[in-house]
This record gives sequence, C-alpha cells and structure tokens, in this order.
Amino acid sequence: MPQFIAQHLPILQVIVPLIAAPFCALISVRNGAWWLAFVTSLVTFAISVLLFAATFDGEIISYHLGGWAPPIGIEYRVDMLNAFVLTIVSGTGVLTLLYARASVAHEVDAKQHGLFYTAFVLCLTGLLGVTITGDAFNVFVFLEISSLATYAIVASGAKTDRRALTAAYNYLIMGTIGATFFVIGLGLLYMITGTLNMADLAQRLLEHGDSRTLRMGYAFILVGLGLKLAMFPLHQWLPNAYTYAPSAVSAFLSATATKVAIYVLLRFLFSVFGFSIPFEADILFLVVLPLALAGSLIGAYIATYQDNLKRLLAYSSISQIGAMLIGVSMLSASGLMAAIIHLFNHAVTKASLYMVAGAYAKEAGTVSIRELRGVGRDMPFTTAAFVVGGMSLIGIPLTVGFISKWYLVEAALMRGWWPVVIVIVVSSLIALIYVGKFIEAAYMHPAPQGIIRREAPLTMLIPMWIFAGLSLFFGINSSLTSEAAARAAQGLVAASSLIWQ
Amino acid sequence: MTNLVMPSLVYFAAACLAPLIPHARLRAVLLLGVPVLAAATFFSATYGTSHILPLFDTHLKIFRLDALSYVFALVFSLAAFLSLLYAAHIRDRLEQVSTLIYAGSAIGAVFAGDLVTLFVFWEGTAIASVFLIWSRRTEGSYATGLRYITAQIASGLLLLIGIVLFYHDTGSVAFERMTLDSTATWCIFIAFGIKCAFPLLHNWLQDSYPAATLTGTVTLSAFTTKLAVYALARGFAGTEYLIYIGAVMTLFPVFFAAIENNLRRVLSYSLNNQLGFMVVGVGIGTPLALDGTVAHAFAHVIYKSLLFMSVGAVLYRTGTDKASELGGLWKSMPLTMVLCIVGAMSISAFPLFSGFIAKSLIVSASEPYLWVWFALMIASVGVLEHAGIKIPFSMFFGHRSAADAPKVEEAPLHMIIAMSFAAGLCIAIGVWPENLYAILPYPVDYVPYTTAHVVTQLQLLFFAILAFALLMRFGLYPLEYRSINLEFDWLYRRFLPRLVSRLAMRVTHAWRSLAGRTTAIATRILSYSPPANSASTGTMVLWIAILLGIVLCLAYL
Amino acid sequence: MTNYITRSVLIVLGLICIGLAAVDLYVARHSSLGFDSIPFFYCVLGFIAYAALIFMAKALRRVISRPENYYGLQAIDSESEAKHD
Repeated sequence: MPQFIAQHLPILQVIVPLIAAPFCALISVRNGAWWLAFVTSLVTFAISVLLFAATFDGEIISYHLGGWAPPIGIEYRVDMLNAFVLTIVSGTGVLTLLYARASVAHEVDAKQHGLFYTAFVLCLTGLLGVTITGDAFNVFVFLEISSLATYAIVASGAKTDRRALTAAYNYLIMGTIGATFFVIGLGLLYMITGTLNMADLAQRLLEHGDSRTLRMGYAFILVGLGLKLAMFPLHQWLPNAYTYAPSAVSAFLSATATKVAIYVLLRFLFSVFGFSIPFEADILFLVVLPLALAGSLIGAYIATYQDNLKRLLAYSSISQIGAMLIGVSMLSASGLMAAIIHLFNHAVTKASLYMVAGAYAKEAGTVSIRELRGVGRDMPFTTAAFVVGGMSLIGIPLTVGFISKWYLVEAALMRGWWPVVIVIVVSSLIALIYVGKFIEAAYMHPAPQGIIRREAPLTMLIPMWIFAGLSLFFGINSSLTSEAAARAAQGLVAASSLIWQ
Repeated sequence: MTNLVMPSLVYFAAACLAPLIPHARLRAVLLLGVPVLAAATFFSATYGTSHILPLFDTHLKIFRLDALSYVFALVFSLAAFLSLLYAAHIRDRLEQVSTLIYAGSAIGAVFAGDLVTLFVFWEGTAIASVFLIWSRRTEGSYATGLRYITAQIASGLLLLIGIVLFYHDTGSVAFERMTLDSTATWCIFIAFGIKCAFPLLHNWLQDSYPAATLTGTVTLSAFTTKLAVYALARGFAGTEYLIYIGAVMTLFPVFFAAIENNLRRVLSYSLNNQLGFMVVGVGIGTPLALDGTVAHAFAHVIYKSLLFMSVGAVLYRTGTDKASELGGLWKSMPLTMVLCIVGAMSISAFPLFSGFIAKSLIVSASEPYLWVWFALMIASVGVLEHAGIKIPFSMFFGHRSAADAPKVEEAPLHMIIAMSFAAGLCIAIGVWPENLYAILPYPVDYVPYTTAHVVTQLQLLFFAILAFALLMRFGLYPLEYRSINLEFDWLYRRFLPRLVSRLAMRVTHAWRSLAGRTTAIATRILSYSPPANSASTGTMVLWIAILLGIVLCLAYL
Repeated sequence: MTNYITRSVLIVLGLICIGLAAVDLYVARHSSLGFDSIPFFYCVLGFIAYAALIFMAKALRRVISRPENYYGLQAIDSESEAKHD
C-alpha cells in the first residue's frame, strides 16, 4: 500500500483536495467543513513534503496520468522548482486553514461556511494542479479552477464589507481576460507545434525557430500571466480583492496565488520558450524590467498613503512582486535564484502580516491604521508579529527580507546594474516609511477613547507566529531555502537555451 | 666582546631599583653613578662590537657600536649625568624614574643596529619623557603633555608603518643609509622629521619644553631631538631635501625667539634653530659636514643644557621664567650669571667656546650652497640675538636695575656645580677642539683657529652686539611684555576645534530646519490621498490593452 | 650711575668694533666664497642682519601677539607662577 501511494504521490497531490472539496459543502456537522478542509490540507502538505524530499537531490519525477505516456497523455512533472512551490502552497494552506477557523467564523456567515471551505479547497487544488502539471493546457484548466474558486472566496468577504462583491467582480473580469489571453497564447503555440506537453513544446519550439506566430503566442502568454501575477500596471484588481476578502483568504492568496502565477511565468519563460529566440529576452528587458522597477517603487509609494492596513499590505505586495520580476528579468542564474528565494520569503512574510491584519479585524473590529492607534499595548503578540514581518518587508538583517534583498542586490551588482540596485534600496527605504507608519501608530500613540481590544485567540496567534518565526528562522539560517532556490534556478537554467555568463 | 652589558639596561635596572631607596639625598647621589656606570660599559669598547638577538625568523642587531653611535651615546651619558646632578634636589620618584628610562631609551636607540630595536626605544623615549611634563602636575601641563605625546606617538606609528613597508620592500630591517625612493622610506623620514621638529612639524617642541618641570626641561632638551638628528645622520645622510629643510629651520625660529616672553620657550626656539644647523650638515652629507653635525650635536647638548639650567636656576629662585617679570638679578645671582654667559657665548659661537669649533665645520661645508651659507650666517646672528644676548640680558640686567630686583639667593650648590661642569666642558671643547675632533666619525683636517676665521667671526658678533647696543640706546629694542605669540599650532589648537564645533552647529541647525520642513511637506502630501484606491474595470482593461499592444508592436519590429 | 656704566660699555664696545674693522684691512681671507673678501663684509652683515631681524620680529609681533590666557586652560602660559620646587 505505501508503495502504491509513493508511486502515485503526484496525482494524489491534486486528487485528494479535489475529491475532498465537494464533501466540505455536504457536511452539515458544525465545523465539519473546516475539519475536512484542514485534514485535507494536512494530507496535501505531507505529500508535498514527500515530493520535496524526493526531488531535493535533483531527481525529476514524471507521472503519466492514466498510464498514457506523454505527449499524448497528460504528464505530471515534479522537479526542484515546483516541489518547492508545492510546499509553499500546501504549507500556507495548512496554516491559513488553522487560522481561518476563528477568523472566518468572524468574517463569513455561518451558513456559508460549507461553501466557503469548498471553494477554499478547490482553490488549493487549482494552485497545486497548476504547479504540478507538465501539460500546458492542464495549467490553464487548473488556473481556471483556482481562479473561479478565488472569486467565490473573495466575494465571501461581503458580510464585513459589501465592496467585496465589486472587488470579486473586477477580479473575475480581469482574471478571465488574463486566462483568455493565456489560452489564446497556448492556442498559438499549439498551431505551431501541435502539442501541449511542456517538455515536448519546448523541444518543438526550439526546432521551429523564430516566427510571428510564436512571438504572438509569447506576447499573449506573458500579458496573461502578468495579469494573474499582478505585474504593474496590471495589478489593479489586487488591492481591492485582498482588502475586502476575508483575512484568511488574503493571507492565503497573497502567499500562494501570485506566487504560483510567477512560477508559471518562470516555467513558461525558461522551460517552454527557453529564450530560443532573442525576442523573448528583449521583451523581458524592454518591457518587464522597466515595469518591475516602476512597480516596486510605485507600489511601495502608494502603500505609504494607505490607512487600511490590508490595502497597505496589498500595495506592498505589488512592490515585492516587482522585486521578484526584477530578479527574473536579470536573466542570470543569480537573479533567478534571488527571485525564487524571494518568492518563498515574501510568501512567509506576507502571510504572517495578513494574519495580523485579520487578528485586528476580529479583535479590534477595524483594519484602519488610524483606529488601530495604541494597539501595541492591547494586542502585544499580534503587533509584535507585525513588527517582525514589517522588518522583513524593509529587509532588515536577521529577517528573510534581508536575505532576498541581499541576493537581489548581489545579482544586480553581478550584472553591473547600478540603477537597479538604487531602485531596490529606495523601495526598501519607502517600505521603512509605510511599516514605520503603522508601528508608530501602534506603539507611540494612545488608544482612541472607549475601545476594548483583547489579544487574538491562540488558533490565530500560532499560525501567525509560525510564519513570523519562519521569516526569522530562514533570515538567520537561510541555507535550506537558498540551496533549494539555487537548485531550482539551476534547473531552469539547464532547461533554457540561454548561454549563461 | 659578547660579555658587554648593554648600557640602556643599566639605566632600566636603575629605574627599577631607584624607587626602592628610601632616603632622597642618598638616592640622588647614587643616581649620579648610573650614567657613569653605563658609559663605562662602552667607553673603551672597540668599534664594531655588536649584539645579535635572534627573533622569529630574523636577527635583530640590538647593539651596534661604531664611531657615530659612540659620540652620541657619550654625549647622552654626559647629558644624563648633568641632568641628574642638576636635579639632585628632586624628591619626586616619578620624575627620576622617567629621566632614567628616557635617557636609557635614547642611548638604546642610538645603539640600535636595526629598525625594530630603534622603534622600541624610539617609543620608549616618547612615553618616558611625557612624564617629565606631567610631573609639573598642572592642568595646562597635562593638556600640553597630551599634545606632546600625540606628536611623539604619531612619529612612532609612522616609523612602524615605514618599517613594515621597508621590510616588505627589501626583506631587511637593518638600519643603514636609505634613499627617499619609496613610501617606506618617506614614512621613516617623516617620523624622524617629527622628532627633529622640521618646520610645521615643530610645534610640539616649543609647546611642551616650557611646560615641563624646571629640571625636566633640562633633560628633555638633550635627548629627543638629538636622537632624531642621529637617526637622520645614520639613515638619510646626503639627502638634499634636508639642506633646505635645515636652512628654513635655522631661520624661522629666530624671529619667534626674538619676541617670545617665556625664556624657556625662547630656548626651545633656539634649540629648533640649532637643529637646523645639524640638519643642514646631514643634508650636505660630506665627511666635513657630517663631522660638523656630530660635533655640533655634541657641543650643543652641553651648552643648551647649561642655558636651560641657568634659566631653571632663575626660575627656581624667582618663580618665573618670563622675561617681562625678570631683570637685574646680576647682583643676587652672580655665579649663575657668569655661567649663563658662558653658555650664551658658546651658543653664539665666540672663539674659544664650544659653539665656535663645532658650527664652523657645518658653515664651511655649506659654502657650495651659497644661499644656505647666507641663511646660516643670518641665523648665527639670530642665535646671538635670542640666546646670546636676550637670555642673559633679560634675566640679569634688562629693564630692571639690581635695586628694583627682588632679593633672591644664589642658585643651590648642586645646580652651580652642574652648570660649572657644563660651562667647563664648553670652554674646554672650545679651547682644545682636537679632543672632540678625535672622536668624530671621519678624520678631521679642519683648523678652526685661523686669524681670518677668528676675526670675521668676532666682526660678525661684535657688530651685531653694537647694533643691539644702539637699538637699546635709542629705545628700539623690543621690550617683553606678558603675551604669547600665535604659531602654526594655532591651526590645531584654535582654528580646527572652532571650525569643527561651528560646522557641527551648522549641521545641527540645517538638520533641524530640514527635518521641520520635510515634516511640513510630508504632512501636506500625506493629507492628500492619491486616486489609486479603486480603479474601474474599464481602466484596468485599458491597461491590459495598452500593454498587449506594446508587446505586440515589439513583436512586429 | 647706571647711565655712566651704560655709556662706558657703549664706548668700550665702539672701540672694540673700530679695532676689529681696522684689523679687517690686514687679514687675508681664504674662503671659497670670494665675495666675502669685500672689506668690512662681516661687520656690515652682522650689523644689518641684527637690525633687520629685530625690526622684522617687531613687525611679526604686531600680527601674532595675543594675551597670555588666549588658549585658556589648555596651555601653561596662563598659569600663575611659583609652582616650582
């Protein structure tokens, strides 16, 4: 039996949550949906850890769905990179579900809990599927599963704020356009190659050489994914969606959805297109890099004006996504490694920060910085977690943010891109402003009159502090993450046809 | 001769044992034996004797006896003896111990055959000597001592850097003649230059020597600067820069000395000027010039000690060393006056006195350098002015008649003895120069006492004295009043500290106003909220279209 | 009394100088310089150098002279005397 499970780990990774999802809606026992979702997430996390361990020494697992060999059948392909992302996604799933119990009970109608957890698990399924599959069209399918589920769970924040509905609607429109662009791009690629298996695609595209159709396909896929990952200026759906979604959803999505989109971008850029024609690299340099630089500055800049803590964190995310894209567009092994390690580091940091925001929403009933004055005294542990996460956003040493910034700056210096270094440093300085703004309000000001706030419950504090602790732990001892990121980057490097340095 | 005891060790041993002697007078007497004992260890040793100390992978020549080190060690021993005799009334153990360590270090440095040993003793002289200043135990002397030790340590550090670089360059730490062709040798050169009080590096000298105790000044005047002259003569003989540095050194102190009120500071300027003669000699570097330098250093240590002792004796009795407060003491301190005048005549290079037979060598050697020769002549007149005339005149005659002068006793006996001993040496060397000439590094065939030389020297001196007499007669000679004169050290004692504090204030002000304004602007900006809060679906889609359009355009390019 | 001494010192000094100047005419110089064999060279040099030096020093003092307490406690000059034993 274990032998059988071990052989089928890749499909189990997706199929377990997929099957569990509808049962969440059917269980009528109080909290039963949560329990099922939580147990499911634990199982998926266990599977991803096993996959991570199996691929850590460089092995690539290729799983043929239904025994049909690729390129005809669907292939699930697990290497260092997507095992790494799978672990992030499923781990975040476990912790946010742990957190969600108290938070969601407060922010979502009890009647809807079954549906909420169904959508949540479906979203998890989609994200895991996108990550694990080796089939391009399968990516689209899972992307849609996760997106549709996301629209639903974002909209479930409507109990607290009706604007969640418009936010979800906007997200739906934008997500659909993005997905459409992506599938158009896939169609164009299929026109050229007649295959949808990624490895096969890469092979045939390389043989195909340059053509206008290929360029069009590249353009559509890039813009489609850019939308999904909230690349500046296609980010505008994100702030509202993250602001008005239930806090557990914000924490989960900020740590996973954009990260998975970046993973898909990396996979397509390096493994599928592989920079076989100069156009691909040129677009990266001419379009993506400037937008990434602008995004990292403008996102941080706008964040400084926000009074809503969740919105502030959302804009901060846009800035951090800009930083990841800077790393990607450097087109060097070190830049890629910086982007991948930042992907993990930012997931950990942002998840903990959104959990803090959720704790405020639950205990203080507000996420307005002005109304949260003096909260540091009433909710010391929660606010302390924000300080840790905030320091990581700034990039202060001993936090993961510093590790990311360090590798990013180092990579930029290796390429001799001084202006980029300056942008990274400046955006860190701006982060200092918006983080400092909240910390000042939380500690330096007296609480508004007549407000009673209690510390968040342990089920919220524990996952929050696990993330905060991780962002400290991997900030001090980054050997595991940097090793994994370096290997994942090397894997991508090897797959592409760029000649590296 | 491996059983030879290093003379510096005699001093150090004495420095350890001396404080244990409880009886002050007994201690003072016993201390007199130390220089004698130390000098006995090398007095009759043959040249070429050396001690090698194996250290790590190299060998240090911690002792080297040759003609050059012999003369300097001999005169340092003499100076140590004179200082200890002059200070026989001192009960302060700290001052006695530091005198011994100071003298021992100076003699050790002179015998150093390698740069590392030189460095150790070089720092030894610096650290031991500062206690002669701090022994005065006033706030001013403490501050001055700090400035003094800063300069000395700076010299030591430069020397150390130079040695390290030199070892790196050449693989050797032997202390032999060097050329100024690398950073290493320049560092060593400047290190020597600080101790030798080169122009603009000189202020520590005039600053600190008047600040020491009256006995400490006598000790200080003998060693540090002459050690530097020795080091230059050993390492940089024939370096042309030194000629011009020396010429400037002889000239500029003359003007400052003429208008200085503090007589010990006058003598410090005079010391600086005398060093200039020696530096010129080292720079010329011919056997005659080097002999002149060594002879001049030898004679100079004795007569400069004598002059400092006489000023010290007056200071001891009257409580002041300021020209404006002194005068008319010839009647109450006649012996001191006579001895002081012997020193004055020696330094002014009157025939039959030691300065004459020593300085003549350098002046003669400088004849190929016309302007330098001229500078030395003018400087000689300057020496006569400030050391030959001003010192004795302002103390014993001056603007006060004997009747107005306070009734003080003659200097104590031990001081008189010490001064007489020094004065006797000045005259003995002047009258029988061949004894000094015999121990100089190079054979001397110079005859100082020719009719022409004696006559021209007397003409120069007496017509200068005539000028003094006439200026006095017509009231043009500058009378001293209580004041100090600004010097180059104003730059770091007044200007730079003020500049830094002003700058600091400006920066603070600027920062405060900037911070204020920034806060105002930031408040204004922050109260305004950018319209990025909620974009409409249309705007978002427009952005997608624009971006896709750009990428597609690029695809068609 | 003082005036008498001063005058006699001046007269003696004057006589010595006249004597030295007179000797100058009978003494041959052997220096390598040459120009110093000009008659009374050293007499003139001594006199002029001394006078010039004094006047220049006096001019210098007008510029650099300051009260004794200029450097305050950082210097020994402003300390009261008679601290020496």
